[in-house]
Amino acid sequence: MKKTKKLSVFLLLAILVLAGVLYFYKLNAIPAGLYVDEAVAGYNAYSLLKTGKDEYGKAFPLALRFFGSYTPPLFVYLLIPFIWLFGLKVWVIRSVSGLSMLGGILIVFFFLKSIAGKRKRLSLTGALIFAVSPWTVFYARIGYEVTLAFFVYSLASLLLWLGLKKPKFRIAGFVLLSISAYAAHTEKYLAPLLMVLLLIFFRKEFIFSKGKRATFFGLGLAFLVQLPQIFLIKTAAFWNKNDLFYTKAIANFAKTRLAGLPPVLSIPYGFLREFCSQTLTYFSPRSLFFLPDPDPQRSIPRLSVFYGFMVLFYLVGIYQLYINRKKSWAKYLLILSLSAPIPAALTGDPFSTQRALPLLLPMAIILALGGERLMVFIKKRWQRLLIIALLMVISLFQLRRGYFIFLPQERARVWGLGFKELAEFIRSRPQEKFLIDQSSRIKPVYIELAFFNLYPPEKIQEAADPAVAKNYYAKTVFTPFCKLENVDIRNIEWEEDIYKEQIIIGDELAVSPDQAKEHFFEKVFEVRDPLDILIFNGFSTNPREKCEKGLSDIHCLR
Amino acid sequence: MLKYNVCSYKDEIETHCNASLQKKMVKKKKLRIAFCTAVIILSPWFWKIISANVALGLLLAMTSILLATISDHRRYKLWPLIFLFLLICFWQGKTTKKQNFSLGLREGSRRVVNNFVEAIDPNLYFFANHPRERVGIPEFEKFFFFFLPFFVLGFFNLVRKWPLSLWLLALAAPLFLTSLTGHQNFFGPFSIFPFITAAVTAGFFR
Repeated sequence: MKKTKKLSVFLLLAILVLAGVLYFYKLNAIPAGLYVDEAVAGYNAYSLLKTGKDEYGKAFPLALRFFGSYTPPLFVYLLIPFIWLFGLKVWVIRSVSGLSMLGGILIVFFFLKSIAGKRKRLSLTGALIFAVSPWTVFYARIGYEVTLAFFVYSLASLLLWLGLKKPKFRIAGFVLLSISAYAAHTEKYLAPLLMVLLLIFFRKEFIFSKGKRATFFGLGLAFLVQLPQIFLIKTAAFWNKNDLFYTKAIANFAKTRLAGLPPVLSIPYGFLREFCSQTLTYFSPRSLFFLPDPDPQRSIPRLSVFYGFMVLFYLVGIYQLYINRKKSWAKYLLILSLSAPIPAALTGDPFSTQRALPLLLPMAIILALGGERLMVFIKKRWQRLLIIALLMVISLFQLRRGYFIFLPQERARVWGLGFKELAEFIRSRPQEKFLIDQSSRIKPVYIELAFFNLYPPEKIQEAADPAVAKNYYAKTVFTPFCKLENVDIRNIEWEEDIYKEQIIIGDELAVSPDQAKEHFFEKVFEVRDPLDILIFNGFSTNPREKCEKGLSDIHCLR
Repeated sequence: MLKYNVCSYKDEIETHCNASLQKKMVKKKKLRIAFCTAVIILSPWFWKIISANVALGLLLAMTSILLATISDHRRYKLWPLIFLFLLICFWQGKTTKKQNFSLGLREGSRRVVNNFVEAIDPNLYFFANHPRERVGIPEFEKFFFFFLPFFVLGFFNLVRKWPLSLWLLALAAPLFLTSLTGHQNFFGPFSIFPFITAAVTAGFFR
């Protein structure tokens, strides 16, 4: 092995080790708590492992009815062996994403290696930028299906890119692209779109060349993989994300801003404007380098998806892409970048990092192109190394401050801190009856309790509406109310619940201090976040005293 | 055999060696002026400005047309442009509510960066900052969004064609000023108006 190659391998390993530390350090505790989307994936994998059925009693579904979202199932099925090996734990659910992002580093490295030519530093620059980007680190540490989907989709993109020159890669590329449609909602729409775009813009290489047999074989296999999905198209479950489309915003815009135009013109104009504005946000330097995702649950405090200084890399990288636009790699990258935000741009959320995660791959490559180009201007090696070291220190400092210090403090509540403590409290009092106020302010409680208290899946399946299992893909309406052993999860009915011997649990608005005083409640439980803001309150009722001292009620006579 | 035009670019301008080519260039220049004027007239930003301040509106229109006609000439007079941009920048500085920079270096630099980032956001100019509108700031549409592809094309075209002096004058100086003064201006960062109009025009002819 040549010296430079050895050095390259060593540096790549060093990047992987650094990324490993960033992705797996304190995985149990940061983000603090366990978000319901993680809990539902973990518990359903556990349920499938134990019973071969999900929480509703459906055997190995094609799409999982998580709170009515019908999530593509690949992530949950992949979790099963991990849970079998290590048990149902927070870090186990999250570690699959960490492994996916480690794979992502290798994808970026090999992608850039294939286009680098004489630019020896390019692939390592890209791998490093990708590995330490806040966008990568954030999604590497959460137990969502989107990170695995990103990995599968990116791997397919790499294989198809390599397949332009070596047809043998095409088969695996097309099949993996098809599989990615089973990994997350975004890829469900994006994978066929990319397939069509590649077949149009690279028709010469894919269809009218010697390797066309591999193309058609790959496409055939991809179609076979899609057959179950095609079965789902007829069901309501496939289309349940349609309500995210901004129909109202378009109608409103057409009505108010284009009142003089007929609907035939104003509605397409309204749609085009909304779609273009949403798409452009995903390429705006303001969104990419300076503003976090507007959803506090999907962002790092005081940090955007890339570091601020990378805006220079971005501008130079875009220019590199423009001047090389006739080269096939630039064309390929352009297709990847422009198609990636399309599914996200069709929803009303501005700059959703979760839905636009496939954009991370082309963005990392563009940043690498820009970063490498800028490095050329620095002639001396020691100066280059000094600048890289300085930028790394700045980046890691910002990441440490934002992710490892502020996030567990400021975002503990949105990440579901308190559910574990609540589950432990309930477990410690098996004789008591509990009523948990399932208001719309609180995410579904039952799944967190099931996760932390390891409720037997059979009991959860019994508690579920039996009609759901029979008509699984059609019954899309979800209700978070249920009864699990001694725990009743529903809204408080004040006329009746205060006269029952039980512990009422809710958030800070569920039971006010005046209500507690009026009904002779006694505080028995409390969870606060690191900022000392109340998350859960627990009160034991006192029906005897209420009946003795309070106004007489029909319930007191029973 | 391929026939090449014997006129070099320099010759075209200096010696007028080829009359028909020169005519073409004049025609092209007229077309540029016409398109640039159309962009200005179709811009809601321009109407917002001119309805409140005619002199400023005309100044911006004139600068935009002058800038847009430069993009296919290598010979141009920089001094009138410097004068016009100084005037625009002065006007912007005067009409913008000053920010308080006495809050320390850290807060001050944060504000400058924030202003800069807002000023370089293409959504600000083509979609009234939609979908990430700023809190407490009345957003308004500046250019119709169908000019956006022309702007992108024109921007890259100008990167190759314009000399550094023009970039500094038409984009860097207004951006620098906007970063320092901030966004609290009824007309928005209007010193960037001529650059965007010129880029859209360049994109159309690209």
